[in-house]
Amino acid sequence: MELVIFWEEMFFNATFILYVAATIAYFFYVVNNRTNAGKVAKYLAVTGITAHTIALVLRTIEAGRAPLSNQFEFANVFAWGIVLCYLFIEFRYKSKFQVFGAFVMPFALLIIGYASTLPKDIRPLMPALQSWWLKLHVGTAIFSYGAFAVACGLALMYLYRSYSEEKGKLGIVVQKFPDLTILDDFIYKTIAFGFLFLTLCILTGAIWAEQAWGRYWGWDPKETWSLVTWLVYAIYLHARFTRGWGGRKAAWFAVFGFACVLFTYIGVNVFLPGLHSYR
Amino acid sequence: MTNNPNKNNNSPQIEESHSEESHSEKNISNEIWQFFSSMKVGLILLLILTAVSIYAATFLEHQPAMEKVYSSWWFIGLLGITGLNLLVCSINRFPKLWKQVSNIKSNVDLTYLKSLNKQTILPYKAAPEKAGHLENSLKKKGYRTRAEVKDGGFLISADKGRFGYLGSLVTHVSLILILLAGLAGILGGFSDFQSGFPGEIIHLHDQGFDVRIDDFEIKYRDDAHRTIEQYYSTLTVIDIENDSEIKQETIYVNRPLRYKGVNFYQSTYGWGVDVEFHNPATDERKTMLLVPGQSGFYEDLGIHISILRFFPDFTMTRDGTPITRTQYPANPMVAFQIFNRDGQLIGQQYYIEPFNQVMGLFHGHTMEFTDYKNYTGFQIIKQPGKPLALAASILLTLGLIMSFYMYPRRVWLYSGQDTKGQIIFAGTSRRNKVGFELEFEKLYKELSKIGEDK
Repeated sequence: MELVIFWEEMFFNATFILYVAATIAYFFYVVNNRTNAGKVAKYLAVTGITAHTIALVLRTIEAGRAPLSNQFEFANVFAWGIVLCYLFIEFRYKSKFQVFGAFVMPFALLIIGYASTLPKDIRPLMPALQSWWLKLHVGTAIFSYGAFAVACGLALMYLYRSYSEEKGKLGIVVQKFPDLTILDDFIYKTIAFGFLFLTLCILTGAIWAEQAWGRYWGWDPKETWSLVTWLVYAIYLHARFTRGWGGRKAAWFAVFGFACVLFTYIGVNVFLPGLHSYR
Repeated sequence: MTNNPNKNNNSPQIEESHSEESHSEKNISNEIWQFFSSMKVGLILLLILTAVSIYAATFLEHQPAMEKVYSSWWFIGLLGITGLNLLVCSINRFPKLWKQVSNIKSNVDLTYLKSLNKQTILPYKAAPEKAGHLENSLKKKGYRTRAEVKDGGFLISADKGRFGYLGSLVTHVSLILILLAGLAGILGGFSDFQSGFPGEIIHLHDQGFDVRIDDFEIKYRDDAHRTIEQYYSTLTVIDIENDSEIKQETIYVNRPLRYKGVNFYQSTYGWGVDVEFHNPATDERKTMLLVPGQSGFYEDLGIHISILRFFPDFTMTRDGTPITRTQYPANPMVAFQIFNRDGQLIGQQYYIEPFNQVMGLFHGHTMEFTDYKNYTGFQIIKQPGKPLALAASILLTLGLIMSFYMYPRRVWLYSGQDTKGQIIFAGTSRRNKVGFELEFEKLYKELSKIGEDK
């Protein structure tokens, strides 16, 4: 067991370093216009997520359960989800949109950096958490939050480009961005994916809450904030289709939505402890 | 407006359709209807709900204060208006959506096709026998097609993913159902808390059955903190009318007992202690079961014994505060006070004593803590909206998958006198532009092959 703990730590640290390197490489690619940097970035990101996956598997072995039950463990899989969602786009579109990496990888870094500040000890599960629904509830959250982080990065690119176009001056960075229409389409698709999984996360959570606590919905701060997140993304999805609300305004909602995700995940635990604040 | 790429293609038809209608008739009920059907009103309602939720969850400190907001008439009213908005929107959109699903759009001309964002010319000349091949290869790609002879040439109209049109409708209807399920829970449900020691019976009002607690057990882990793995209560459902046992079940956290729509959830537990008094004159023994916070009256001496706390694993901190190390009864002790008939404290401020130790009172009377045992507590809840909520959840998931992943797209192949022997290939998709672009290219390649073969 000692050995497993040691290697988990090693792979976790390796992941962190690889993600830092990948982020730098993506930045380099954007600023310096070298395709080689893009290739290196992709290679680093793939190696990073491989190390990350190994670290997660080791923790699963160590704990004898899925690593999904406290702040550290969720931060860990959250970062994993962001990189996974990003790499899915990278591979799906044959590295045509590597610029995204420079705007998405920092979020993965932010979250894994947060994870590294949290206590990593493995504690046994309290009775309420011993359920199959834990895996479904948290599993869907990983994909949802991962996609929302990607969407936030893309929305920032959208806003950057949109304001630059307004000024009529496109810098070297913005020139590499795809058109607003394409960015908008990517934001929509990632948010649609995230929204589907957030809905599943809330629904599985409700079914589980009924089993464990006897109610589907109790307006616990975490529940309410997840509803707020859901509402904000619902506003985004409708705003896009409404005259005068689309484009830049919708992009702002995509950014605000991710702020809500972060508050639901971190803010609620810090400021609004309730039934749901597992530390 | 340059930064709004969607205004041309993505504006939904709902907005257009009701603005047309508003000119035709202008009575009050119509205006109310229009008001509720507007997407802008929907958006504003979403914003208000968001704001209220943020306010209540963030700035009200205590759960009861929050619950007061969520159960207030105005919040429920707000949810009601949102439900109405969803309903009116759904009804308003249905005819148009259904038309899109049931019919292939084929009333197009060259000007329209040329205005689409994807349009090209196939690399070979039109010939009547090609029409069938083209239609077939679209069919093979999963398109629904309709071919017609037109203007000395042909028009093939095709679409795919048409059920995607219904996605948002299904989603909205499922949300209405979820709100209704919530309403059913408020109107026809109840929530109660009861606890008891093994052997005791929990009585329910008007449900036709009682529940007996047969056993309660805590499973501790073997770790240093003796953390609790699980709480198990064994319960038996008893029919009141014929006094018969219906079923016995062991419940634990995450596994409630469900019977006739009433659910029993393992919720809490606690400790009780047996106090035994001995009267030397009569040689009588009296035992009472007391829980912390409770007191018992020993009439032979006229004293009250009040249990303050049970320590499963007693120890003292360095500054002399009594605490329990774990929840496991490794070193059980009881803190208690003694009062006289008039409620005046007798002896020390409080005592802390172990079990199976005879303590002398007055006149030879003695007292002893003989045993400790757990009681178990249940949340008892009836939620009548459950099947509806479950069905709505499935519908909601389905609706989102339909609206996000069954994206409707339309393509046309047209050749007529105005195309001068060329075949125009054009298409459009309101959602998923990048995806449609890829698909359009693939289709183009596929359709181009037909020219090579013949």
